[in-house]
Amino acid sequence: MKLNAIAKLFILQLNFILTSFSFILYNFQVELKTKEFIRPITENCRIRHKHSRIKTKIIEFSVQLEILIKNKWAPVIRYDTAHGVAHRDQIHPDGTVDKTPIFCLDYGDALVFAERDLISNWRVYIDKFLKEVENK
Amino acid sequence: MTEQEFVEKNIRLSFEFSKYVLANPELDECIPDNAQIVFLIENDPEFNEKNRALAEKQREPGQPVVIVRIKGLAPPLVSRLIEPKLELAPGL
Repeated sequence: MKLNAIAKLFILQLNFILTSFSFILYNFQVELKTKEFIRPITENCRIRHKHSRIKTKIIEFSVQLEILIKNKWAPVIRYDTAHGVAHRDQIHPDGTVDKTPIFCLDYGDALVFAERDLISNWRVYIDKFLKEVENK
Repeated sequence: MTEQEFVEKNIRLSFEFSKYVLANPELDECIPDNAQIVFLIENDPEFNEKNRALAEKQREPGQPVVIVRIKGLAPPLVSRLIEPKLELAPGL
């Protein structure tokens, strides 16, 4: 009898926890907004920008410098927050990737840093990538 | 306007646009997903013509386009501090 009461209490508590969790998850999904857009730089070069946020707080992002090679857009540099850490991926023509972490606690700051780096150094990144394509 | 000047101007606008969108979440609603963003500057027909041509060349079939009309750019060295007040501390 006592055991039955404990089990009932346990089920009730579990139900409460699950309901609360669903409520939080639902609100998170409702509030979370994702946007993706593309800005051309030159005929063969563009920046793809994607961010998810709740109001003004950036929850995740990806900013990617892309080059058009043989009629296909290929990523050259990608800043993103995959695996929960803001970092830069330098993508080589053979598909290998060099990862460099960004030491920014706030993803909004990291995103602005990423954008600033790409607009300042896009030519360097593209030239380096094209040299690697030539030497492949 | 040389090609380099055009590209530099366009990429500067591109960066400032990103910052503007981040600061103004309501703009997300005006941008369809995967849209191509095209900047046009008031009273700069040469830039606008080049940018329209560039956008057209890069556009993918069915890709939505968002035109961003801009009056101009503020001076680059704008601080984010709000009304800072400087005072000379006496005796230091």
